[in-house]
Amino acid sequence: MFGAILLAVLIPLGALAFGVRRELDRRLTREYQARVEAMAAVLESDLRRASGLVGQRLEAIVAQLSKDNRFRLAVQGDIASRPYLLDAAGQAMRLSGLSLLQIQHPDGRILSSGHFRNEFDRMEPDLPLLLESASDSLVLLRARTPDSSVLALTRIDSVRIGTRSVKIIGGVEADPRLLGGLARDSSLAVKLEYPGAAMASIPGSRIVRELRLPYIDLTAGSGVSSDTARLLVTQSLDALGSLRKGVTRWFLVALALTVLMAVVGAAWLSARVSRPLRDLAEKTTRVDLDRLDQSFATERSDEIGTLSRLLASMMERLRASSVRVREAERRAAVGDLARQVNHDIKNGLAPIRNVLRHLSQVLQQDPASLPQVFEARRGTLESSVEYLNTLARNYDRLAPGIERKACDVNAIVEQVISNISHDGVGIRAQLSPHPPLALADALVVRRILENLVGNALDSLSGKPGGEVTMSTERVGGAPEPARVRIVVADTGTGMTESELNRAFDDFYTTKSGGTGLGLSIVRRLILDLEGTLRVETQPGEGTRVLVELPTVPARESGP
Amino acid sequence: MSHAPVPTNQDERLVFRQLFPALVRLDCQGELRPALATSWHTDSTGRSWTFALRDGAQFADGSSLTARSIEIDWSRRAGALREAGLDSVRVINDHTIRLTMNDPRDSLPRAFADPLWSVVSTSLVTRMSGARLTVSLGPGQPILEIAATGTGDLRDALDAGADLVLSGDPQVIDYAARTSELDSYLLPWDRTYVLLQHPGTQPPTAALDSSLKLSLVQDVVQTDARPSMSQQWWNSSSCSVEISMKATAPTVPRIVYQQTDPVARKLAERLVAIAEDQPPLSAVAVDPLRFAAELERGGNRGYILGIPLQSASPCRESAKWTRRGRLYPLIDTRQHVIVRRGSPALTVDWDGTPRFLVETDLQQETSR
Repeated sequence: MFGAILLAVLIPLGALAFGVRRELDRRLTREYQARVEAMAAVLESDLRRASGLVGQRLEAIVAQLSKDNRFRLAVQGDIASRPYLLDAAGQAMRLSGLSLLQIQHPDGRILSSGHFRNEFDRMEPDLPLLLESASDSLVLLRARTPDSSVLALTRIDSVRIGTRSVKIIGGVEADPRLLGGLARDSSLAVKLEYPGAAMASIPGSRIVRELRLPYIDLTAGSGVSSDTARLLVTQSLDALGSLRKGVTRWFLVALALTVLMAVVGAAWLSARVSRPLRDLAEKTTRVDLDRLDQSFATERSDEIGTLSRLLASMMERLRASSVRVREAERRAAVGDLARQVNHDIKNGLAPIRNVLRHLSQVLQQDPASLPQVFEARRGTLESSVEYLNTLARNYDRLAPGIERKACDVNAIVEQVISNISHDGVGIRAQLSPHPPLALADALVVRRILENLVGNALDSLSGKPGGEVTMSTERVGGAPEPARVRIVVADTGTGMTESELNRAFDDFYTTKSGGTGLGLSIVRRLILDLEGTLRVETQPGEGTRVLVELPTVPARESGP
Repeated sequence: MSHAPVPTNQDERLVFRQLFPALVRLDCQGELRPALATSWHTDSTGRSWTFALRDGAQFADGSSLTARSIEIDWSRRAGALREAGLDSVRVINDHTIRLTMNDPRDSLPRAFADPLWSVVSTSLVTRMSGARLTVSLGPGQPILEIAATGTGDLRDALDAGADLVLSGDPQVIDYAARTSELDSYLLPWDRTYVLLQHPGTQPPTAALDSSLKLSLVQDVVQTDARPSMSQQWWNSSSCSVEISMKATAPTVPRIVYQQTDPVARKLAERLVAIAEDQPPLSAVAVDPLRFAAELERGGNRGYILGIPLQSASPCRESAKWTRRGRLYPLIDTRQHVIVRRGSPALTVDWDGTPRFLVETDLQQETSR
């Protein structure tokens, strides 16, 4: 989310910065172009003006000298006027405000020099010719002074003395002040470049226009040399550079603010969206059937609120379902108990019914033997009544307790065999002669065996010649504790693997009219006695149920 | 900057001459005259000289000047005087002093008239500030101020009441002639301007001849000048000057002169204008205080300097210049002394330096 916000803000911002810089460049360049054109025009007009100014001053000097008799005499060779002539150029130069003034004889001899007074009599015949060939335009002249040189924008004029045309060369200094005056723009500068001067480019500026001037150098020594000088209009790139820097700086500031706001925004959104979702997830993981008290109540009106309300209504439905499930469980448990009671009573009444049926049969067929028969079956009646009586006591307590004590499993097996009705089916007992005494509740063992034998007999129905075998034996022993094993085997229908897997579940039955509780009760009772149960079955071949019970420890067991 | 008590230029010589008497003096004809000393004699060796001092001799500030004053002053300048030949000074009594020289002298050395041998008052302080030399009795009590030539307009100094002005400027001389209370007198030729070049260097122009010198006088210097004579005191044969002709190739194409000397400037500029050097020479002014150092360091194409036309100790003076290279004399100059009327009487010494006459001088002058 953070990255997405950043991208969403940075890309438009970058495009804006790029656009602003580009537009700025374009406009400034256009503006500069116009200024450069204006500047070049001003420069040209200034140069024309400077040329006119020098021309006017030379004209004034010419007018003054042409009237000056001492000058006239000196030019014509009058010795007495010579000192006057030597100083004439200097005085005229200072009075006229020129920086260079040289008066030359037609033969090229310097008669008087304003900028280098003691240069008189030196021959310089080429200079006037070069200057005259430049007609009205200014010439950049580099002339010697006693200690250095002077660079002047120069023109030439002449004064006629008799038959001689005396040359008057004058100029104004091309110093930085003059050039600064030419450039009346803070970002544009005028630079004079001429042979021999430093040609190094000014850093941070570019040349936008150049004007050419004839250039004469008198300081080179080897005669007069003529060349070209350039007046360069340079544009300072500082302003543009600082403007660009400013835009970049503000862009970076905006960028920093954006990143900061994105971070803050992401943190806020996280607090607003992610945390409630995480909370909802945590609450959901805590929900199970035992904990349906999680509250998803909320007052939020956004998507999270909607989700919370959906979860809350689901919880409501879950709670209602849970109540219904518990009610069903309770009802099932009550039904189970009733069926168990019914089943146990039926098991207790069956021997009595058999005895009564036998007695009535004897009464009808051989009434005389009734007392003997009665006496013989009296034990069965009494034990059945006792069984029912115990059952009644147990159910009366509602929690039938188990009373574990030493009991003879052989005797119980025999009792079960004698009690059970097994019409035409053989029940064989293979009893160990000295089985150890089991540590168990005899009644519970009897219930287990009656259930198992009942099931075995059921599996033989419709299968003539079938047989049920009950056997006891001692298993285990040192070092493991010895155990009593009781096996109920039949040659009945057997079970498939899926039938076996479900055989001990509550309410599972393969018989019509069965409760499906017999084996599940058996398993529970064996677990109560701390015994084990194993079933070996093969469909079509029969089933062996092996029950192992703990024995009485050695000191408790009899011989 | 406290000035060393040895005069080094024309202005300081003028001051020295007014303030600090020497034992003897040379008059304008070069004759030896008594000054601080009235009589002198030597012993048989010619090394020891005994001077009898004038009674009541005083410094300019009125303090008495005795043999003891001479000993004190000269011990302060022992180095310079020993270089000039002095071995020892012995005070015999207040009015008698005996000097022992290193070498025997046949006659009284004229060198004793040199301002070097003046007696300087310890209570007088000379101080150079800018181009103005101030002499004072102590801090803040100036008794004499001298403006160096070339600074300001000397006519302003005259208007401001200066009693004595030395100048070669035609404008100043003309102004003095037009002013009733000023008198102007021509002084002897006192100075020679020379081009000094280091050994092994050719002159900047081949034509250092009489016509050039004439042109310098007529067209260039604009002061009272004449072409310099060929024979000068510094190459007189009596001095056995050892000139070390160690050739130093000039590296800088320039001719150097003292900033405060307008005559030297004009000469330098003219030489630069006509020089045949490539690249062209330039004329460069240096501060007077730095000039000696510039000269010592060497390396320039040449130097323009003005040196006294007369010297009381030519051998010592010439050694000062000639050991640096070759001197090409260009022009001699002289000055006018402009004196306010009513000032004390004036005399001129052999070297062209004017001096107000004190009472004793007047007595001596009249006795002659």
